[in-house]
Amino acid sequence: MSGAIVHVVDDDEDARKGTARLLAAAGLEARTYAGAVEFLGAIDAESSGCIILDVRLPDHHGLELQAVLAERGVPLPIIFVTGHGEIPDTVRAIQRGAVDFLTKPVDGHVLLAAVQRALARDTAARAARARQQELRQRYERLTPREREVFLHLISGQLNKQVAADLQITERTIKLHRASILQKLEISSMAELARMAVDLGIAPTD
Amino acid sequence: MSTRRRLYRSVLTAILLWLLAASSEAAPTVRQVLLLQSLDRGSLVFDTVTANFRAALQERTVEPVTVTEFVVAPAGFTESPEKAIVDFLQAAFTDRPRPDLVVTVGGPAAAFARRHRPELFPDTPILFAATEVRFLRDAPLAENETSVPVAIDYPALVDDILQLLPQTKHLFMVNGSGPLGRFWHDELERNFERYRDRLTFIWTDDLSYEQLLQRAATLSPDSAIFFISSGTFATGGWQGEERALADLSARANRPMFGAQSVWLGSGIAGGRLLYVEDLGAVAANAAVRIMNGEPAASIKIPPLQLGQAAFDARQLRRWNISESQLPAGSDVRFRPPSLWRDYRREVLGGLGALVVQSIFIAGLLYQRRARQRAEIDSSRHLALAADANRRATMSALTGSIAHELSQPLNAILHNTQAGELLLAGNRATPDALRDILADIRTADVRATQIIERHRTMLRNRQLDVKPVDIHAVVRESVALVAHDTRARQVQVDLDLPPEPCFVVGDQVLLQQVLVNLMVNAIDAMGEISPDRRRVRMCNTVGRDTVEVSVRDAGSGLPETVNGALFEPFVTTKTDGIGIGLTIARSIVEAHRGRMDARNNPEGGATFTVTLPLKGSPVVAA
Repeated sequence: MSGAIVHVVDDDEDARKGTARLLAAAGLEARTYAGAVEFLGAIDAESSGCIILDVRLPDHHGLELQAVLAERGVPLPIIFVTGHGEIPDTVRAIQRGAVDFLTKPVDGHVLLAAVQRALARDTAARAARARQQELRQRYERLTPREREVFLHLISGQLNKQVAADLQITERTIKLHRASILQKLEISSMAELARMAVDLGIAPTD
Repeated sequence: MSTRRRLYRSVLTAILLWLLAASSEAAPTVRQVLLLQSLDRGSLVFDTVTANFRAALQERTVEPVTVTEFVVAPAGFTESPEKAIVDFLQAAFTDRPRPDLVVTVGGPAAAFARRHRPELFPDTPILFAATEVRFLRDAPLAENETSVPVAIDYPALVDDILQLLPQTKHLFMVNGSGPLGRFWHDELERNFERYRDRLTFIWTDDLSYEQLLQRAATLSPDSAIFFISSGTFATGGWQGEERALADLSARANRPMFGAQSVWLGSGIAGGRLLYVEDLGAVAANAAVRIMNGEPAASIKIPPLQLGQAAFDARQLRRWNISESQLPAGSDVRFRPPSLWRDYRREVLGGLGALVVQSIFIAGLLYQRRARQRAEIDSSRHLALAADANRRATMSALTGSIAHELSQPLNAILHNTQAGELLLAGNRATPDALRDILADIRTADVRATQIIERHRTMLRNRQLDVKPVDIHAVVRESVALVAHDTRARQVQVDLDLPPEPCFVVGDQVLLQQVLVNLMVNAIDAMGEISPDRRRVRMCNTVGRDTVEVSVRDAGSGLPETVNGALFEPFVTTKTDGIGIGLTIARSIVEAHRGRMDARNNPEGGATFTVTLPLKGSPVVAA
């Protein structure tokens, strides 16, 4: 998880500093912000890490900030902390993907555990996104004709049936198929099917 | 809309300690208890049971037990809040170990747990604590369930009331509204069948809170009030029992009865009581047995029933009930050691018609005297009334104290734990530790200041007249309400000249006036959109006087109260008794000052306090 940054957004200076120190002592890199605006101005959508967010900020409600981050495509997991948690806030936050909702004063072990979970989630999500992007790039290499064949193949049709459907020879299908597997950097039809699922491509019937 | 939301609101007070157990290797043997408490905070009965349960459980266990508390709203009230709680609990337990035991406190939580058991914790044993047997009779207890039941013989209590007040023809039943209120209405109407010819029962589950209080104030002389549950009210939102009992007691024109021991002292006259104080310990015993592997179903606990009769001496006196009428062996409590002490206790809660009257009389007495002598050091009556009012104002702010304190406490905790981590990793340099200790000290000083600021306002005190900087008084008042202004998104603009400006007077009393005006200003802006909520505090220093003005952007003063605003018992708030401004004006006048109110041309109201400067001969009247 090297390079991961824990962003602490809290308008209370003492609380902010204390939390940052705790994170540093646990070997994590922390950055602090006094408000939502300051945070939005500084955050890099590509960076990895997580956010510890006080629900009540003077310039924005924490849930608003969560919505803004989602709009801007900042995928960092959020741990909410609050002076007093209300069920509606809590539910809304968690439904929108918050990792945790903790009540101040938060025990340090609890907070660190939540941070570890958030970072793990971020790493996993990042890896999934990277793989998705990689797959997408490979798929882009296919010619329009090859994409058509791809769709038929993942529906489980035999070469012969595909050939009949597309009104080309079975031999040409075989050539397309070899080219597809090579461009997608895979070696079997099973992998092809899995990749289609990952790419969210549905077979033609 | 906001009252409805409040009705459904259910406050989550838990710290999710599961997180720790779930992912930390440190504590694999920590037992987890999930505690679901009925209704909101402020239920005297359930809060008592929960607190005693936690204390007793910690005493009885060697291995660490983590108790996580959630409050569940009245079950079945509507679809949405209950679903919200279920969703939340599900989200909270995804990827985490299920609790070892679920404990419910009170009937509604028991009903909730039973209804949602299949989706939430199908295999976890459940202990239904402090649950009226009527809430459990729909279905037999399952294999891994047991209960610490209570059984209240309400007809027996009606008999007791009739014995004490034989002329009673009407029983005004405070049963709450919502499903809980209707539940008790249906249930007790059946139980009370045998009184059909003798008594008329007045059910209140369709009344709003305000209507309830109004009705209770105008009962016929052959009535008594029977408090069953404050539950929820049709439009007034959830009222904690303490508050509901206090309001009823203050307004009611007839004596009030109720079955719970913890209500004695809060407004009920007394009678045979259910002593719930011990239930927490009984429940903790059962919890330990279940966690030690005993099958829940094998634990059988008989229902707690009504015990000894106990009465509140103050209520007996208030309603002219002679102690000789009480059942033999009754315990009479709250015998006042002195009149003053009695008044003070009542004043503390801000309740009781007697007290309201005494404040009123004290205020009027004082006003007359103040006009005659215009000297504050002789104003013991004002001090008394002012104390009461200040407590009332401050108790409205106590919620914020907790939140405000959570910041420095959080800082202290994290700094300490950072230090421990550094020490554990042999990375603790003297410099790092020095920094940590300095920050802990800063946070501690801040916590002390928060407490001190509130304590000054809460202390019974003698008047302390000396030169005070009125600008400092304004700043300190703003600090006192800072948390509330922030929480309610009110922007405060301060317009104070840089150099100090001295008046002669009592700093705390003046501060009280300003806090009072600020709280009013904040309340007045509840309905408008947050970006328009502004309070402007402005001090204008003249030749002989200084004007302190508090300007809000709220709804302004209604025509109907114009002129009468500073009279006792005139209020524009739904939950106010209308004494604050009367006292505030008395305080100002005692300082040879004057208080005015007017509507602003652009909307909202401005309250202005004009005080003579130190050394000025002027009376700003």
